[in-house]
Amino acid sequence: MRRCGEIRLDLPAYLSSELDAARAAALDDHLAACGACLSELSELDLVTAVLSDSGLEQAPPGHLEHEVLTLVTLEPDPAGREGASTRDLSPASRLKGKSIRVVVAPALAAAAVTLAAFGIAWRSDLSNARDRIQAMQEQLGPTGAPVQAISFVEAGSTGASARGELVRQPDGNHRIVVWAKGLPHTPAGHHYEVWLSGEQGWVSAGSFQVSEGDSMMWSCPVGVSPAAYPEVWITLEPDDGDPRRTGPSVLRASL
Amino acid sequence: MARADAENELLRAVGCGDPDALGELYRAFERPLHSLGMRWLSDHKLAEELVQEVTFRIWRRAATFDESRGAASSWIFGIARNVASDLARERARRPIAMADLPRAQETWDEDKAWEAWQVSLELKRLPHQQQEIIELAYGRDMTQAEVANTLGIPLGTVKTRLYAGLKSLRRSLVERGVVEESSR
Repeated sequence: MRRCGEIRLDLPAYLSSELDAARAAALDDHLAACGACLSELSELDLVTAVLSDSGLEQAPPGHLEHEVLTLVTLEPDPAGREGASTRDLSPASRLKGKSIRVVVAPALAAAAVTLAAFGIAWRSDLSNARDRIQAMQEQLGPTGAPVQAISFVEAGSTGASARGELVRQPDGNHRIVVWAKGLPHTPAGHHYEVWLSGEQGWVSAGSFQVSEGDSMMWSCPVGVSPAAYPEVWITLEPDDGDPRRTGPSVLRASL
Repeated sequence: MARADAENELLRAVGCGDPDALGELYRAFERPLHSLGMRWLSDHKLAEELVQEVTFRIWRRAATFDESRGAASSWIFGIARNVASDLARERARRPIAMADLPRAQETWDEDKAWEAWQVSLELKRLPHQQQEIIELAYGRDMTQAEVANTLGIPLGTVKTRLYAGLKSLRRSLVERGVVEESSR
């Protein structure tokens, strides 16, 4: 004769009609004589009914965690935001917004030659997370782990504000990401330029234009060691072909 | 520390801008969020989008979380419900190719959705070996023999783990008020 403990292991299969006829009949006989096992059956019946009704699904794909958390780290620190409950500042909404442009600068050239940057408006037709993340990665390059927040202070009189992040990429190099708000539209014949400065001088990290809206996100890989260039500057430069910094400062920050 | 307290604390840390806390919270809620996304939207991509958007909203709004008005789990569930509603409305405005028509969706039932949310949360807290067997048996409708074959383990092991998992799950669902306490 089977004991209750052994019988009970068969209860889930009994509930899902998986037992063969002989085993089911034997279990029926046991349940008719054992109130404890019958009660156990009733409890399992309840929980399996809830399970079946809950629409169990598999977990989301593993890569989503990395993608989502990486994108979130590109957001400004929530503790420092204003009106977070009413303003939608997520990358997801940025991608849909029309007033925000993302500018991607070319790699930093050793000779500090300012390369032409190109502006890319996020595609508003990218409706799902995967497409948006892919587009972001294609345009911003490989993402990585944030290693330092960058707080800009105003260096001119534009009223602009900005914050940024120094990100270590998977390849060991660094990238700077900047969110700026309130930058005036770029005057004709000019561009904004991002610089790193240190004892070794100034190197350009790239340039961008602000042509619509007043918010922008900018990202570029950094080809030099940030430790050797502890200052970040944003200046307004004339399109005169001169690779040196000649225009007025707009924002600055210390790494 | 009680589970709910731990979740509340994580959410408070997220509100202070702690990305590690957000990662921990993500791992605790990704499964129930994805499950609810599938239940409400019947679309894998939209379910993933729901997971993403809820994570963003948690990050942005965690500082507004007030535990005197409810637990972190309830707060996140409320966000998920709003995001699902937004995504469903957005989808309704998009043209869909016949081939991409989603399967029939569940009609919205707040109680059932909440119950499914609780089940997903508790299932995730089971030992992995029990969790995967329950998922295969009740999520994929596999027989115990199929589960054993899929996992490459003896049928007896499946029976033991399944029974133990269901018992643990039942206890925690009783605690959450999803199933009733036995009268015996």
